[in-house]
Amino acid sequence: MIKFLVLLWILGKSTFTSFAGLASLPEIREELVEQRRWLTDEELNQSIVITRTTPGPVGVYVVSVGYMVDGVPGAAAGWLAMAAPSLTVILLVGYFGRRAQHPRVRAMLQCVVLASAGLLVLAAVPLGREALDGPLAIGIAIAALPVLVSKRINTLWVIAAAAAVSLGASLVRVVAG
Amino acid sequence: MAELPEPAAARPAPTLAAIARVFARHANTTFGGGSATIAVLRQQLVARRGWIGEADFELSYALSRLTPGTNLLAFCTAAGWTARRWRGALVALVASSLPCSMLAVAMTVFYEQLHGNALFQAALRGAMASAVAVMLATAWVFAEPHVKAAPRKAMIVVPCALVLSLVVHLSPIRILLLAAVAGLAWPEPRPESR
Repeated sequence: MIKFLVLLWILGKSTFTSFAGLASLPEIREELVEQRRWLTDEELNQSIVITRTTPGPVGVYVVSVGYMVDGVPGAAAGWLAMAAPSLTVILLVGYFGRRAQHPRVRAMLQCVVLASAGLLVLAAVPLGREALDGPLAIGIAIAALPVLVSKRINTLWVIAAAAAVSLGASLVRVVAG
Repeated sequence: MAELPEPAAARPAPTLAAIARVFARHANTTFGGGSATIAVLRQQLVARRGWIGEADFELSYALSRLTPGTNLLAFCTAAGWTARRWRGALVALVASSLPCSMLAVAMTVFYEQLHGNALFQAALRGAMASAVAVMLATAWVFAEPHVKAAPRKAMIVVPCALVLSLVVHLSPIRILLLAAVAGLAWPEPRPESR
């Protein structure tokens, strides 16, 4: 129980003071790998790889970290630490929702969305370097982009089709080779 | 109760079970991180079901970027709160975080087997390639209405965000806070209809 509470405190402290999925990583590494040695660097990297191979938010890596440290109770601590900070958004929505038509609030939201769009393009670069590792992957991305921008087909179907094409190409290579 | 940008009575109020179903299905099945998932949720919540309006979506999205923790979960919480207040927020938060957490635990347990499975890796490579396109398309879909409504502002804010990130190496949250401050100092004219 004490390990659960300490783990919840460490993970919660990291997630409440970070503003994106992996931004909590340096503090978690410092506490769990360097100071307490409850986790190795290899296990921490593994939890990030696992996040890459599962759908949903990148921040779910803290659940994997929690499980590695303390089994199911650790995973529960990771889930609480990941989910709890989100409740603070209600205070923001409550405050700004009442003022959503104020010109300054509208302009603030507009600037945040525009800056977010720019940062999103930058965030796609490292993922692109990792994911677009051959002609097939590049072709999938190029073919998917106009379909997604047109919004005619649900994103989930585009992702499923991309996975199916890649799987099909792999099977063809196995059969041909 | 807080006023909403668009009257809640004008929209169908979803049941808590429907909120749970939609968030569990669409927040836990998209590869490519939070932004790609938010793009899928936008289709479901705004375009298809009309649970929240475009203005509510923008508000939830912008404020979720300024909230500590995982942006996607903050967005889901805000959208759930807009639809059904506290109960909606809690149901959306649990539904959008619990299934993927359980999947992460399962993947942690079976990591070695799946990591070495060639077919799983092949399908994953395709999904990740499409995730790059999802992120780029999402950036455009989110920015498009503002680029059209305020092109001068877009031509200043977007390059400034890129420079602050690439050259000054500011963290995303600092850039977004600066963008928020810039917006507060640079108000939009009131809509003519008001």
